[in-house]
Amino acid sequence: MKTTIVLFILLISSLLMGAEVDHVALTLQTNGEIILNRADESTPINTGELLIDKDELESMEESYAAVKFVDGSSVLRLFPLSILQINAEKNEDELDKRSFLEVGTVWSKVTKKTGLFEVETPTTVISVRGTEILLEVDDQGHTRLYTFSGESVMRNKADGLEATVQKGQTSFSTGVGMIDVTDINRDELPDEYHGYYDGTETPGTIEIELKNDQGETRTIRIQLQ
Amino acid sequence: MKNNLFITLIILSVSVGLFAQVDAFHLPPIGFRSNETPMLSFEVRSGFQDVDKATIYYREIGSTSYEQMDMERGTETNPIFSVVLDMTPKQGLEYYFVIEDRFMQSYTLPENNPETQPYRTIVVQAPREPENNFVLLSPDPDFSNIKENFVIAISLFAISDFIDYDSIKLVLNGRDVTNRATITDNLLVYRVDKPKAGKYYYQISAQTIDGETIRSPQYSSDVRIKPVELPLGMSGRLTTTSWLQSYKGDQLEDETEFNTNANLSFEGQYRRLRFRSRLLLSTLEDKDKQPVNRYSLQMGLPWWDLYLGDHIPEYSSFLLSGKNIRGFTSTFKAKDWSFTATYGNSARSIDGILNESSEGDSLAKRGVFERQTTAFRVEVGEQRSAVWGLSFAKNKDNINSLSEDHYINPQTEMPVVTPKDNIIIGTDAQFAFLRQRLVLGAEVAMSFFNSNIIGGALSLDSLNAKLNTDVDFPIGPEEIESIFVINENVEPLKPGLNNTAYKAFVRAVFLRNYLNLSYSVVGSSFNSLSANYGNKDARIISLYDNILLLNNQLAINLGVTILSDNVYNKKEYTTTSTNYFTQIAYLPRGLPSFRVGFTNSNSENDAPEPGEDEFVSQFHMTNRNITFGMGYDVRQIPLAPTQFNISYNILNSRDEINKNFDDRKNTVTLSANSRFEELPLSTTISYSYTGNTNERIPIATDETDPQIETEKYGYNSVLLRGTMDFFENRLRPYADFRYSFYSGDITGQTQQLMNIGARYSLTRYTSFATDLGMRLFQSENEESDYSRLNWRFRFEQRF
Repeated sequence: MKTTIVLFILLISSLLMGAEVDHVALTLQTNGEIILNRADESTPINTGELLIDKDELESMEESYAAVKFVDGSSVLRLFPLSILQINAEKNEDELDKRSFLEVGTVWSKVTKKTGLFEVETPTTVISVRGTEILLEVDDQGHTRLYTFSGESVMRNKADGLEATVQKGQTSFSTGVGMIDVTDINRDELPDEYHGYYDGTETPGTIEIELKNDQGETRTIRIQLQ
Repeated sequence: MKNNLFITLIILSVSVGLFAQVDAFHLPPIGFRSNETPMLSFEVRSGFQDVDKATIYYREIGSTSYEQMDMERGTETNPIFSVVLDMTPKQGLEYYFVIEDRFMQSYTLPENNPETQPYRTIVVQAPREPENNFVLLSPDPDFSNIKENFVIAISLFAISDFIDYDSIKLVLNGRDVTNRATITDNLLVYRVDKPKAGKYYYQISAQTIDGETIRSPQYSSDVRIKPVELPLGMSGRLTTTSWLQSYKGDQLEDETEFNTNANLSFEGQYRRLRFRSRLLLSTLEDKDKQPVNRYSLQMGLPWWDLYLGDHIPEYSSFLLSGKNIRGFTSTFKAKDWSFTATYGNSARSIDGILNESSEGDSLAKRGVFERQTTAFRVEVGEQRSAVWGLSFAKNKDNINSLSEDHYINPQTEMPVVTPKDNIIIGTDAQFAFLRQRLVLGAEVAMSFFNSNIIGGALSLDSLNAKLNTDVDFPIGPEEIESIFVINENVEPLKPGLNNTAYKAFVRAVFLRNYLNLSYSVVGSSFNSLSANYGNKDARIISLYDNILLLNNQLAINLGVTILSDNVYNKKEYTTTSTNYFTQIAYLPRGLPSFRVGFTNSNSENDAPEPGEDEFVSQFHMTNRNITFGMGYDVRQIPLAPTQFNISYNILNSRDEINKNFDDRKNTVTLSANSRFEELPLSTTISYSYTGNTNERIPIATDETDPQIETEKYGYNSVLLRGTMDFFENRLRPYADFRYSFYSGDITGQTQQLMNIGARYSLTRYTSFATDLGMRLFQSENEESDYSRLNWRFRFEQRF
């Protein structure tokens, strides 16, 4: 009898597992070296890689990746030296997306509402209600959020404090205590983000200004397309 | 008794419609789907050769001012005027057409009160088609580089629970490539190996577990390997169109006309500097007409926009709106405010034509003064929340731009056209709440208008003498002449409510309702030469509601517009025009779609019934329009799925009191568009009939015993058209034939119109098209018979 019960449970479990969402996203474009950490394996990936729940993407220096979820609702762009875990699960007809940015920078754009869209960091949770944000996490877990359109909410994991960050605003949190929300000052914004602030950024293009030892500046334009 | 301008205009528009030399017809489309850019056209059934120009005036339902666009002229053998609007309506579209003929006569569609009773077409949100359940994830135009990595990824996420995975089929450029694709629970992924330059068409299909086959739209992607890579990321387009028209008949001398248009546009970006340019050159450019050529250069930075050349700046609806200004417009944008300045010409000077004869010279055509427009606007806030604007506009005719010969009638020595001066000052505000679901707005403007500045400003004494007043103004008119010319022609001399205009509106979007309420008042002396603000001396209340039901497939809209004149009781009688309308459009997936529309307008004044031997311009006219349309795409027809459409329109215009006219027009149109599956052929068969019954009392009739004359005539038209596709749509030849005739109580006439032509895409960037058409016109009056031949050639090069 026990064996029958165990087999029945295994059967039901396997059926339920079969009903789970399999692939939840794919890489639209990659540049440079992007590593996929899945279970215990790490492999470099390219454009068109299928991603499943809990996949972790790691971008090396001067490397980028654009990721699109299978519900077609949203795109993430991973900047260099970032680690992002893709978390998504099917909720009835919708796909709830709760990605985790461990460190680095990610830009996201939500074009239509189909399920939740959140990005978690080591210290905060960002709920995206609008369309376009940029999120930075340093190696201490401190989080800075820029909202370029729509609005988003930043919540501290530790004390549950929340702040709404409207279009044109930026917020900063160490993970505990007050969340500092101010207007984005374009001059203080890193140069490579000016395009997002101005609304002129071509999604597939990034410009980075480099300065050498002699103080000469040079702009590198990276075409993601 | 004062002349009632309003009545005159209405009667004029009706009579123009009745005795028009140009017979034009437009049937509004059933509806537009959301995100669809409207293409609108009307057919010229007779008098096409006499049409000089056609303009569409259009606006989003709920807006109080019209935008305008010139329409593209067809040919003698394809006698339509068409336009693709540069906007996508969200709730609905209101529009009307103005047709100008070469005899300087204007016609409108619809014929009566087009500004307040325009055509209305509603917008139905695109229903969720089964094929929309396939979502194309890759290529994504913003991210994918298909030259290097051409990955086709189609999401099955939305239909993963009810499709048979074994039935999934991916067809790429006509080849089934399913076996080389990766299919998972949610995705189909296919990598195109070493893509070559060209266009790639692909489509996915699958069977549902119910056995129904569902297909995605046919996707396409261009792999562009440009022949020349331009610097600064520039791209653009060069289009040239040449056409030849030849006339042969008895009434006029045989003639041949050849014209060419060239349109060059390009755009690019250097760092944050964006630029865009357009150059349109035409052999139709004529110094005796307003400009056809267009030159524009637009540059933009995040904090600054500059437009040089031809541009249509939008300030506010009473000040500067919908008018092309040739000059410059510049906007400086700070975070919370912006400043815009405009300077240029809204009209250029055109010499008149002098008729010299032994009996004395006369002006056969009056000249036009150059009109200079200057405007400024300061705006604070942002559209998403609250914005306030303060604007100023000045329009002044340059009196030196025309010599006296061209505006003074030599016989009377009086000006036949006068230079004007016009200042408008206005302010407007808009507040948005609940994420712009509720928007409140208001605008007020005051104008100063001088209808004749010949002679310049008067001295204060002269002005007082002319006006028989003794007003002690702090500043003499001569001192401010450079700002505004004050003389006896200022309307009105003493500013008041009559020279103001204001409006207020509320827009609300809730529970799939789009509700719009607006109220506007334009004084009888309000003048703005730089805006299309509609009627003067008018009070307009407009209520409109658009309701979407049944998963956005059913749209119901209803509204009422009440227009009355005599805003400040300066006239003896007030004329009120009440227009209410409703439309229902149902566009379900895979089922017949239909539209029913009803419009009723009632225009009357409050004049009493005239007594004996008394003339009172009592007035009451009605106009009713009922439209029914139905369409069904019968995909079940083997080999040739066919879209059938039928529409029926009843129009009745009647003079209720004086019984001067009672006109009825019934139009029915049937069409069938077939797409052959086994042949690269699509065909159209269309039939249209319009029956007119016009009853009227001739002007010279005996009023005690009026004899009603009844005129009945009909218009029949049959159109046959076939289009073929070869080489993956690169070569598209076509041929069509239209036969139409008028019959009944008018001079019988028959037309046969034939066209053949082809479009050929040589490469992704280069294409040609040519058409050859013939028109044969025969009339019971044989002297009117003529034939016309036209040929057109179009070349397009993208770069």
